[in-house]
Amino acid sequence: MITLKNVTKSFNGNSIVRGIDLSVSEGERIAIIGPSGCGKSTLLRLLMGLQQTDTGQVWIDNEDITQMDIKQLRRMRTKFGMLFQHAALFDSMTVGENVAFPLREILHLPEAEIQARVKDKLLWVEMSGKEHRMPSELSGGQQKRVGLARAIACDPKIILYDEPTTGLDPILSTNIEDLIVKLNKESHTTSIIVTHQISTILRTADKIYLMRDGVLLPPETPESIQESQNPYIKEFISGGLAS
Amino acid sequence: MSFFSSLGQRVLNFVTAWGDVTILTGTVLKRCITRRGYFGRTITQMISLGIKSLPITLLTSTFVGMSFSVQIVKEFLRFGAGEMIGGIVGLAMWRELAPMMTAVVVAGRVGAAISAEIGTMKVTEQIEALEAMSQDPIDFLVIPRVLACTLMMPLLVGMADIVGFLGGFIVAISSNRVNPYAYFDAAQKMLYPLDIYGGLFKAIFFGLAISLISCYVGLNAKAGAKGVGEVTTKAVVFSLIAIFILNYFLSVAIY
Repeated sequence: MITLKNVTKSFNGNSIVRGIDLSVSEGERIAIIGPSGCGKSTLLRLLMGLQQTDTGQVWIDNEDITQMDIKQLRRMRTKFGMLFQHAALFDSMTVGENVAFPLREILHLPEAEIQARVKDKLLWVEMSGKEHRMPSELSGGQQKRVGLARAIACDPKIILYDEPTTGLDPILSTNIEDLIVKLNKESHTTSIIVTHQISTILRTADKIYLMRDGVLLPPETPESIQESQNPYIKEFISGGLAS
Repeated sequence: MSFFSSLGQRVLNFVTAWGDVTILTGTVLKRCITRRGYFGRTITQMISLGIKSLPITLLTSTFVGMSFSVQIVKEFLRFGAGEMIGGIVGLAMWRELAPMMTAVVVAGRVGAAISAEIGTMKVTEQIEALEAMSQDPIDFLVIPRVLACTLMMPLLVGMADIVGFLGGFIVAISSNRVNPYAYFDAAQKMLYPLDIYGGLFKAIFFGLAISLISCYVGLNAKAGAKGVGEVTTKAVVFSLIAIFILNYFLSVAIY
């Protein structure tokens, strides 16, 4: 479903992503972990074509998106939903308008259906009745949940999570992690979670890749990563668990 | 060496920025003609950027007309040319003062608002979220603002023309030495349609320049509150520079 072949990306001469190969099957939940600034978020943006690769190929459903023009990229992006690190809700719109936005602008649904879907998605993320609130009136965890409702509004096949639990307290983190797992199980969506929160990867991912200096180390499972003898993984995991 | 290198970089940045603004202008103008679906968002922006700028525009224009009248009433009466005052105030207001003062007010109010809003959206990933949802920020953010600003500027200037002229009238007649009928009669005799249309024509270009520059700098905001602050300042400064330069060339071309 998603295949990256020898993808590289650099900014101002600094190599951020260095020849990454990755394959993700339909319905899989993978986590990419690594320290801040190691290129995890860049990798997500390359997957959606929000940034252009320097070299390499990104295949989504047998189409190489590096060869697409902007119109084809926009069509391809409808397969994705993305939860941003700070939710990225439109602060001039209410919660309901935020969730309705992709339904209006991408699917062009009738208004009655939009309202029904907005209610449904907000109910799903346990934010029912908050349609008329402004994003600035919500807590960080609530904003993340609304961001998730917006990301899944069009029922995408692939969902990208950029640091979904960073900055949240343990209870809210668990709440978001539960939603990620629930969504994957109910809708069979493919999930790619980028984070440096150890608790999140252990609870949400089937397969875990550690990113270091722009490359991905071989995949681990939530069980095997805790037993790994790789000194870097050990340090990362123990540091994460200790904190 | 570092001085020349720094100077060269600044020149390069300047040329690149103006090149980008030119490309943005071309893209916006082309899409305004070839694409549809901006109506609702443009109306919202017309209210936010245009209608809400009306009070401050009318206030400043009234006082500009009054100040100008204060300056000329005394001098013109000294030379026995009191019957020309209405015409002179009218010419000054319609040709230069109202378009320029309105553009300065709009650059301060609307230019700052556009750049701050788009800049904040940029640094809080909202623009990236738009792109992730298959939307083009130019279609969604830039075109409605450019259309709204370009369409509302002539209306604001038209209103500013009238209140500025009437402000001058109040000052003139309060001197008790200018005949009210002579004030309007002079304006009718001295003002030609081109004087009125010319000012409104200038306003279209001012609106276009303010909105395009403000959108451009907003879209290029750098991270953080400092980045948003910087683009807001840049938007106002560059808009003002563009307005003064444009005004000279348009005045030469029109009159």
